[in-house]
Amino acid sequence: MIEGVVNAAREAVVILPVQGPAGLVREIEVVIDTGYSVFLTLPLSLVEELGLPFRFRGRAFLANGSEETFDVYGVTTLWDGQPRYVEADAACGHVPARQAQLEHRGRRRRPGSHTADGVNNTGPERRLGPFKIERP
Amino acid sequence: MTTPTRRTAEETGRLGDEIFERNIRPQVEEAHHGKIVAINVDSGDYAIDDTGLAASERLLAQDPSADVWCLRVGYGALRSFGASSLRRTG
Repeated sequence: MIEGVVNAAREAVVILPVQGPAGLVREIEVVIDTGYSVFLTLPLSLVEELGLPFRFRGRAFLANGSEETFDVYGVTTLWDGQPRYVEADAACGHVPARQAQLEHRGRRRRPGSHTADGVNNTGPERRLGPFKIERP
Repeated sequence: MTTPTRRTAEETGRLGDEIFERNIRPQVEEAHHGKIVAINVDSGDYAIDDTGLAASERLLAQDPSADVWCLRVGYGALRSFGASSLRRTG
């Protein structure tokens, strides 16, 4: 089970550790978006920092009806305590902030020091209520 | 980070779409509807799987420098964001 919080912007947020091929780990706040058809979108700055391997390109339809071509990288995440190698999208061009699934908000720890309970560190001023994601 | 290909994303997409329409679509449209097709736009080789990562890894195992374009069979796009749909093509 994964626990998260609803922030002041009414977004459901969980903490997700992501790891690059060299072992570098970053903890990021992930906004859950039920309208997104894949797993994860990362900002290009984090893709570059982690040294993620480029895998392929594809096309997406955005919520405003336009099309966007994007690059996809491979990243290892720790999802509900289990490591998973998943697709991480990085838009080639401009993507409106509201359409990004993930915001890299500068919450960084040393490699290997990440924990699954980091949601408590987001600060009570932003925490409107907890939620949980059950395993299917 | 492994550098994206020498082409622009739009050029990779244009080549991938052309190869798909010309050589692949007639062979896969009925049997693999909804699956992901990864296309090496340099060689025309392709792989079909449930995810873009799985399909592209098979092409990259053969050619690590492959320029790979992915499509979802029967749909206009690989992804959808927000309230948009993937829009069926046929």
